[in-house]
Amino acid sequence: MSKEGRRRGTWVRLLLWGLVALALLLAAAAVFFWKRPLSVFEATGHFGLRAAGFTRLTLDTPRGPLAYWRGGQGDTVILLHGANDYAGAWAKVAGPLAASHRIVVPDLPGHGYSAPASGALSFDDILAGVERLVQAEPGDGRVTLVGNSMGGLLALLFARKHPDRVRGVVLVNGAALSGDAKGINLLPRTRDEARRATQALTGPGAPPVPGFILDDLVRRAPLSPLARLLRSDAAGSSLDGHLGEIQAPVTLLWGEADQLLPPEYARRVAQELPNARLALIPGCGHLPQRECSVKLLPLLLEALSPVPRAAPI
Amino acid sequence: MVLAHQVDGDGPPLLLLNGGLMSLGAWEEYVSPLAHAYRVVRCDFRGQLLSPGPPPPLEGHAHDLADLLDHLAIDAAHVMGTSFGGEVGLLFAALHPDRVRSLTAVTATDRVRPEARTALQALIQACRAAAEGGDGGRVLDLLIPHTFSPDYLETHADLVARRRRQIAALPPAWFEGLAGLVASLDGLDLRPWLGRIRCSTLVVAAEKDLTFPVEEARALAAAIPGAWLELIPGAGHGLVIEAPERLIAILNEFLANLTLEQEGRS
Repeated sequence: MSKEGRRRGTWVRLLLWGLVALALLLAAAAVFFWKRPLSVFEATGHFGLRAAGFTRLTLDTPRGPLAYWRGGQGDTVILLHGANDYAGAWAKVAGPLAASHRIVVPDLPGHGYSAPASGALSFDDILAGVERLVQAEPGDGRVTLVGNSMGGLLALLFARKHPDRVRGVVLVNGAALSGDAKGINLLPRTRDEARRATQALTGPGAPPVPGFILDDLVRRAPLSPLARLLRSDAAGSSLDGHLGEIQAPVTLLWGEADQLLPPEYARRVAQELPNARLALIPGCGHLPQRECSVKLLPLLLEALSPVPRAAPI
Repeated sequence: MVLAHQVDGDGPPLLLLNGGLMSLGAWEEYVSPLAHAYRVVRCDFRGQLLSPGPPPPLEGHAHDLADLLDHLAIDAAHVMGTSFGGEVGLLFAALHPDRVRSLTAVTATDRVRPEARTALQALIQACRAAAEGGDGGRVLDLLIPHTFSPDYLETHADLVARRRRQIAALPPAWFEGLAGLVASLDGLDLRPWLGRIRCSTLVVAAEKDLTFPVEEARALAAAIPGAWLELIPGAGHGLVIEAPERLIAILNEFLANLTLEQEGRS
């Protein structure tokens, strides 16, 4: 064989091995997605924030590093996700909001990329993470807190504790009072329980969640942040009987089809808060920032605008 | 699930998006004039006649369109949508900019005004009543005065009467779907998304549009970077049905100019 022919042979062999390696890599990725779809969603959700021009940053807290993303300029708005969720949940609205505000989106302590990754987790730990974030903000240090689900409870807990640091609170299907979850198990033990839980959280027209994702929800449930929280001090963080102390203006933006925290719950919360306004989002479930960002965004922008509002309801 | 769809002709892909009450058959008059130059793709949104099931939130329709283009192996298409389909088209262009070559939004709006809420709620009530066995023709009775211009109604009375009978005969699920589609328009405000539209956009307004009046079309065109506005005199909100020849001519001219412009640039 000529020298040239040998060289070509080497290249062909290299190319073939490269293709084999690529195929193996793709197969491994497919298996990983099949087995751990939620980890993949978490990574792509965070990538969504990067794609929206946000910068990933880290703060040190007593419980370890706190990961968060920041973008935009203007008054600071902190977006707080719910239990077992992560910063990427806000990816669809964070970009457009950053056109007029300084947007800060943490992985709350114990969630996503923020410590502690395992072991005990309390509401105090998570609230301390939010306090750390607010401290790190420049200017007068006043912020608006937007919270979905458990993030709403944290926003209200913070507003009660630090009224001088809070410009306003927006609850996006946010928790505020103890509710009755009517047989919805957010820590599902079986595929059926997981299916019921996802159905209760989404609005009509949401595609059914495939079995391999439900299985990953079941697999993760016992070690999830929510399970760790419930093992510690869920009762210690209740605002029952204390909503009247929160003077900050609160806007409630509410997916009407939420079965976990239904509109009646929102009305009860709005009545107990001294300065609240409620807007329902028809056809939307518990996670408007994921499911109906199109309708949520203008409502959020209105709630965040500095224009004084009409008298509260 | 892939949306029910139909493909005709060959050439650059052109996606036609239904108004709320339409099904893909309503574009019949557009197909033969367009199919010789374009690969014309029509579909029913989830919740419409041929794609049953509860309709998703509005962005869900945009994602369905992306899936449909994937299914047809189309990278990007020219898109024309009217009314409800116009709103979805606007969102599709804002959320999936790489899938939309150009957008023609016919009798669409930048936002559904709060004043429209009463009418929308009445329409939803009529749909629900029809789904429970009531007279489905009531839905059309509510819509017709807002949909067609007085001239068209006068000259096409028989057609409208036939349409009323057709709609009254539709199954309950159709009315449930329509109620969901209408509900997704309630409170809709696309303004924060419109600035993100990057493709060439033409807004076509109907002078006698009572659903989304001309001022709304003007606001829409003003909110989209570089958008053109074309006004069709005499037509009502149902412009797609009332004046297909005018609309086809306008679309052809718009797309031809785009092609010239793109060739000039390259």
